[in-house]
Amino acid sequence: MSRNSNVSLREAPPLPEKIEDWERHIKAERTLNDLVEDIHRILVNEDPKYRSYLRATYDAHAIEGSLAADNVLAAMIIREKAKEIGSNEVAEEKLAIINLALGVVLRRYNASRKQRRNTVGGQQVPSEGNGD
Amino acid sequence: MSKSFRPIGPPSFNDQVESIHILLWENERYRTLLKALYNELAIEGSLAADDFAAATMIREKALEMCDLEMRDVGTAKLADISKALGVVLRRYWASRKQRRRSGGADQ
Repeated sequence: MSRNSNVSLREAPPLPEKIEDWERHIKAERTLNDLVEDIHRILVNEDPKYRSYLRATYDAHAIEGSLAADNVLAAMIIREKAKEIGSNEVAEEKLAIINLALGVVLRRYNASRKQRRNTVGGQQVPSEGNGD
Repeated sequence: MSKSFRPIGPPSFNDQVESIHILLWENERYRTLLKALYNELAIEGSLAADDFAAATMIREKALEMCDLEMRDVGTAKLADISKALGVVLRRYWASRKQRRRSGGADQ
């Protein structure tokens, strides 16, 4: 015989019907990196020009003549998209900051220029310590 | 009698960028993009980003002008325009480095 057989179970709170009623109890805010990642995922799908700005691994292959210039243009596209979809935090951010966040995002996917530059046959090799 | 050297022929790439730079000097955003001497003061968070943003404005202006003489700038890469802009600014003793070394009185 179970100990609590006489105790009726408390009823669970009802599941909210509308999304507005769903209150998130974990208050951790999403970081700028996360917001930039959201926009990056949209742009990778829909904007071939954006993808081409991220493709080069050497200055000589860069669309705009240098990887730094391509980075800035990719950041400009991200900021424009942020304005379009109403992502205010990104829309009001400086290009250099968006560029840094984009670097973090790309590394999450092992897709940064440096990671791809040092990849041979699908395997990353250590760099030679010359800043490459 | 000394004569100043003036090259014969079409304007160089640097000259083309200089012409557009002079036109854009009226534009407040363009001027502010060239103003900062240190990354911390840059509009876009770094001097490199400000340089490329200014170069973007130069290229857009060149395309907008539909001027054959500016054709090179309209189709140039941003890195090239940015380097040419550096040359232009040094002509006026107004590059970031020159102003930084002169004491950066305007900052």
